[in-house]
Amino acid sequence: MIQLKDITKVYKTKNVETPALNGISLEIEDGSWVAVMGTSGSGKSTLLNIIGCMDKPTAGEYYLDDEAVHEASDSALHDIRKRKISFIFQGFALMNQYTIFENVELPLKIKNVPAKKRKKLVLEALDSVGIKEQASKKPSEVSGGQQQRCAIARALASENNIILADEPTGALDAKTGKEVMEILKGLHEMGKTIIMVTHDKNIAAYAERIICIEDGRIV
Amino acid sequence: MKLINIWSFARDFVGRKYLMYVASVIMCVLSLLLLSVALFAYTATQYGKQQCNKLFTKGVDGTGVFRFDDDPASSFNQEDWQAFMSEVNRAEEIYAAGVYMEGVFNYGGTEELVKLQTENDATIHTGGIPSDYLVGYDVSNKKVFDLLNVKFQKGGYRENEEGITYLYLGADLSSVDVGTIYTDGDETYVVAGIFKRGTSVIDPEVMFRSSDVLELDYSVCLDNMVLVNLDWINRNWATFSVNDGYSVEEGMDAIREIAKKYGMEIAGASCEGLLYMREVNNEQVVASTRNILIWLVLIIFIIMLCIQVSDAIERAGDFGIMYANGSSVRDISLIVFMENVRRVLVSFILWAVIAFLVSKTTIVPYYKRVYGIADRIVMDILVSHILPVVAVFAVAYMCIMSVIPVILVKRTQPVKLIGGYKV
Ligand SMILES: Nc1ncnc2c1ncn2[C@@H]1O[C@H](COP(=O)(O)OP(=O)(O)O)[C@@H](O)[C@H]1O
Ligand SMILES: [Mg+2]
Repeated sequence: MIQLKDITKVYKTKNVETPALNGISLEIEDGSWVAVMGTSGSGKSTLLNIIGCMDKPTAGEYYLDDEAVHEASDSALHDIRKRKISFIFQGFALMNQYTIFENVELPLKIKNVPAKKRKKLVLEALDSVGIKEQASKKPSEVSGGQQQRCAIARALASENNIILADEPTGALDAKTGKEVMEILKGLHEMGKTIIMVTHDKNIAAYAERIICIEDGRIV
Repeated sequence: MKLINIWSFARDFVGRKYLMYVASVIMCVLSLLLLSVALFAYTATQYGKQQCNKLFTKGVDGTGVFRFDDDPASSFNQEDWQAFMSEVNRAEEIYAAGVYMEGVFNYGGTEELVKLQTENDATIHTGGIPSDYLVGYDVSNKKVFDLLNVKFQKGGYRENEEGITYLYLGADLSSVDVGTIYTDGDETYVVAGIFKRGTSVIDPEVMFRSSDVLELDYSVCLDNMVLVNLDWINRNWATFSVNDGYSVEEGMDAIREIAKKYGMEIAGASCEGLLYMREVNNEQVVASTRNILIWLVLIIFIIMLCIQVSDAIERAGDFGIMYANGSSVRDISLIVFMENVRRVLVSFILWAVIAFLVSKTTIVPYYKRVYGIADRIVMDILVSHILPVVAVFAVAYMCIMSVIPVILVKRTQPVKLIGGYKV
């Protein structure tokens, strides 16, 4: 369960202060699927990064499964991130020099999963997103849709419960985007908590709940 | 993250850009080699000092040299010389004193004098440096030759003849008869004596002339000047060491007082002073070589640093992906560090192989023309003086090279790295 209480985030660069979030309070149940919508620059990514422990809020409280994330040290934060959270990005965020297989294996290696178990988990994940045949190819050798499937497989293989997707279909055409959403739907059915940022109503419609953000506030 | 996984990520990163890896290894090896050359120039002097210190019973601090006025007319006769040396040896300040020029063994001094010299030789010096190599060194012509390649002729022993070089042979050539003559082109060489095994004699004049560490090789010695003109005995340097609690200067004063009784002026210096002068003589050459090389090393270092920065920027995206998938900044730093460990380790091994081969095939033969034990000296300098410094440098190098990507990752919001680092 994700609980945000009055979260604010102000970016400070040199002498400019940019408020990105202005008192966000939010509760997200385990296993739910939430879409975050809003115009560009409204703070969607910032919110997602804070939920994903990639960034720290300037003020406010954040509890993840009753752990006080806002008070956690850097190493504790990293540990939470490693154990609980997976990301899916608009630009796929795959390592170009690695094969699809190796990309999916990455978080498992980081988590020190033994090699045998790694292989099993990777192949299962690739199978469930339907790109098992592409395992030995490099990301540049497959289509955008397949690359995003690879990124989803990576999230799936890591066995983390929370999947944060920042415009997962933003770089894909409508048809491929729909296919990717169907795969995410599968993950949701497996019981994963999915929070996804999008500004596409059709995509947001997949979620159980839609949160709209404007100028760093929920409306 | 487990070390084995960090190691494997490091390997993946290195393997990915093989050419750059090879280039950086070459640069690293090159800078280590240049550093070694600079160190060699610097250490050779230090090493000579250290060896001299080992050679003297009382160390460099407790040993000095003296010599008489250069004027042959005012020279001693042998009886006076013997009496003087005996008195010097009895002085409270003096531990032992004697003329340790090689010539003393064969210029026909009294039996007693020879005995005195031999005894004092053993007292002052801690023992010979073993040498298995046979080379001759012509002091006046500064010419070196390999005795093994010279043909010996049976013949008479001639004294006081122009164009003749007198040789003292090392123990390894004890089968050669004293008086044997051989020729090499226009030069005539006469075997004037054979050294006992283990004899070690330091030639202070060699130190004074700053001709490197010639004094370290006593398997074969040669000195025609002393032999040719017996009257010039007083041109020899004598070596003395002082008893504990006395300084070399005090010993020097005592000797000067005794010399006065014989109507002689003497000049002297502490070995430390002589070595210092030698250092000063060499310093400029050594310092300028060293400076040039250090600058070169620095430039290479900066180039490598630039490569590292551009590589880090190029890989910012990868670091971001690693981070988003659960690795900490510490993990990423360790991966970068491990990459440098791999790089530097390979460079270090290559350096060691090259340094060893170059020493064996180029440096040793070069110095061996002068020092029979060049093998030992060069290898000793390489292992005990250069290797540790290069190793420390290599470790520092690993750390500094690792710092840049780490700073980059630390100062950039990791999520931003995914899209690449914007300068
Ligand atoms: N690292 C940053 N430094 C400074 N300002 C930032 C940074 N990231 C985002 N912002 C600013 O914060 C606001 C919200 O950004 P973001 O969360 O990326 O919006 P969205 O994802 O909804 O388009 C924007 O005004 C943006 O310019
Ligand atoms: Mg955004």
